[in-house]
Amino acid sequence: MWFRLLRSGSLWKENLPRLHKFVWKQKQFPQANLQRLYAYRCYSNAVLKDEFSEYLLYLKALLNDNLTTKDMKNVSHFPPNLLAELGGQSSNSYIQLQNVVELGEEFLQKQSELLELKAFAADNELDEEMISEVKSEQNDLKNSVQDLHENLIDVLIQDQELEDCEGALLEVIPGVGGAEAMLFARDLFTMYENFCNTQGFDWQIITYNEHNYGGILNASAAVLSSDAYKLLRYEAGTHRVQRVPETSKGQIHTSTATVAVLPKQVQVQQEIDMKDLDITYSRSSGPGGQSVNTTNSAVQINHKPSGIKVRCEVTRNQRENYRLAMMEVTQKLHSKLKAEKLAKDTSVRSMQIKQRDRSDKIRTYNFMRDRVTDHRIAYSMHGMQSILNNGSKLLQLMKTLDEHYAKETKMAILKGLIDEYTLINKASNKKKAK
Amino acid sequence: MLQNVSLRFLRHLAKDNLKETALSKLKHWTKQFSSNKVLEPETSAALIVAHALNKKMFVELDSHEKQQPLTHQQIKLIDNLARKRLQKIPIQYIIKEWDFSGLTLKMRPPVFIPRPETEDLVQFVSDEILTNSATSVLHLLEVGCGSGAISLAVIKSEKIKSNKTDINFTCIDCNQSAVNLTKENMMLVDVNQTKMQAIHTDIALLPTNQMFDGIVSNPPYIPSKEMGDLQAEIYQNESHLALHGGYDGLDVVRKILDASKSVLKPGGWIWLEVDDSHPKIIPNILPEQFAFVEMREDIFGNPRFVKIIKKS
Repeated sequence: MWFRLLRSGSLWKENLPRLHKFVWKQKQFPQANLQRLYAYRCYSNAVLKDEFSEYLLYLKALLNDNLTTKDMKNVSHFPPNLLAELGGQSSNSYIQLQNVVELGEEFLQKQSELLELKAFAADNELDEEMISEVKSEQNDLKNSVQDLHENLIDVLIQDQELEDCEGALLEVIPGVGGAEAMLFARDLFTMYENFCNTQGFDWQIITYNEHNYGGILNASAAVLSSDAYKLLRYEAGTHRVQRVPETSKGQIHTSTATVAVLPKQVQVQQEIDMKDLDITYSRSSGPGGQSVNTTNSAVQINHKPSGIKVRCEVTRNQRENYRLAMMEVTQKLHSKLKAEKLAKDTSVRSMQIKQRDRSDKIRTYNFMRDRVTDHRIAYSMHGMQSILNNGSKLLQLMKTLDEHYAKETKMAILKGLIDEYTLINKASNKKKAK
Repeated sequence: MLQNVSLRFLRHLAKDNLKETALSKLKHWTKQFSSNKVLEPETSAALIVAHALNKKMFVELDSHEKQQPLTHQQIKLIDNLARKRLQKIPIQYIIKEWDFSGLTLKMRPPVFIPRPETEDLVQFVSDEILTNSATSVLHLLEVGCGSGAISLAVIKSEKIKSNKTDINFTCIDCNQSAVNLTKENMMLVDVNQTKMQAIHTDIALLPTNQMFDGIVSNPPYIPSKEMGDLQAEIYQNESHLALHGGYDGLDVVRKILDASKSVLKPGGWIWLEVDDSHPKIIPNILPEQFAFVEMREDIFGNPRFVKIIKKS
């Protein structure tokens, strides 16, 4: 496939340093979307702006078309990707489109004013005073055009991943490195606990399975706060640590731990067939009742079809542990089914989410150099102890990641919408030509 | 090499500072319990350490608290409690409390410790009360209240609190210490004397002028031959009056049925927790005034609960 790109010539020079990634990514994503994924990176913000104006005119025409039909709020004939962005088949989509078009008209007006000003400056000979005035007015207009552009994109493309989201489920599992990896996993879990406590998020441990040597086998917690998922979702992936372990004699070891973050949705309507579940209470088999006095209240639930296993031992009460374990199993099953659905979905947004979930070694914690580096945005921070203890620097990193990915996602989705419009245009032009 | 050894030794000393932390105490006592063949060594140690630090479960301690050096008082407390556990005293008597159906109740030897299965009995009784459509006060009897767990859990349950029917529980126990403990737990969870009374009496000696709408009981039901198999914690510490149900385990059940002939209203119900061998025997021993309605299993899948109704 990349031979075709080379021959076409247009993307040759710009993409020369990026071609080596093509082969790697080709294994992950289907061909058509691979082109799309790289195409948006070649477009700068300015280029999109020109195409964006054309798109806004198209949206305006779409709205006007709607007005002429008797059914005022019929959105069924909107192009599918646009409809998905506006919020699906409902009257809200129509209202949303009206907002976008209103803002769009303002944007187009400012753009035309800017062009007029340029023409005016070019045609006439101006003295120094006039030149400075014109320049300041140009700057003002440019700033307002920029702001409107960003606002418009924000209104049009909203973060749908955060819909119905009341928190996050965070899980830390040790990776490569044996006992040291388990200790690092424990340190990471503690770091997130401290971070959530500092930020005032409600942190509830669901499972915490310790190993004899002090590390953890796995641990998970529910963070109940509306901002939690927005910030924590970019923690998912493999974290790497480089330090001298407690168990070693002075050699530097590298080990990893994996963090998984799932959104905790309001009212997860996931039905579970009780027959699929294997519920084990940690109680000796036998008559039970008055003849036994057990204090161990652990409950383990295995969901056989999917292989999800949850063990909960957080309260002294069996019923409460059972309830918490069922909640986690339901959440995990819901997320798993959603992920399977996502794997088949080829829209731009889902491509972004998939790319994020498959991240490999997103961050390195280097204790000798007292430095934490996030590889996705090449961001480094110093002060390991303060990062592990209270996480104020961690907040900054999370916010930067959120902004970075938000921008990337929005540009990609916008490109997708404009492509869709171009296709429709070509199709309708062909029809007219016929 | 000698230099390395001495440096490492100094580093070792400096690292721990020879101070005990919650984590180190947990490890120490878990080891002690398991080598002394105490049942559930890990859970016991975790509950004791957590209790000494005013928490219910060890996982509730955050990592800072787990590794903080303990005060002299805390270390003394943990060691005292743990030594009691070495004598096979149940944890509930050591920490003097236990959870039941969302309530935390006081525990004291030799009063019977509520088991998790009994929480289902609370549900069945609450549902029974809700199906009652009469507007007058429902008079209920609990036989063998022990720590008062069942009645208190029913009164404090959400379903009953929001229901309009008034209920009044009469709780009886033949052991004075159980009656005293029930009264203390009533104060602890803030249940008024108008809703519940604890009386020291035997079921056969109940005055017959008051009739009840329903009876609930978790009577002693262990058959004689199984008494010897009980774990040391139970056999040596809990009152046998609360455990031993006679040769077949049904002695007290029979006494309840006998008394119900005069103190239970016609159409009234009886909910019982029994041994898993009893639900198939009970329908055959019922006096003619009574009818067997249903049997329910507990959360571990054993036949555990029976409902009997007095014919009207």
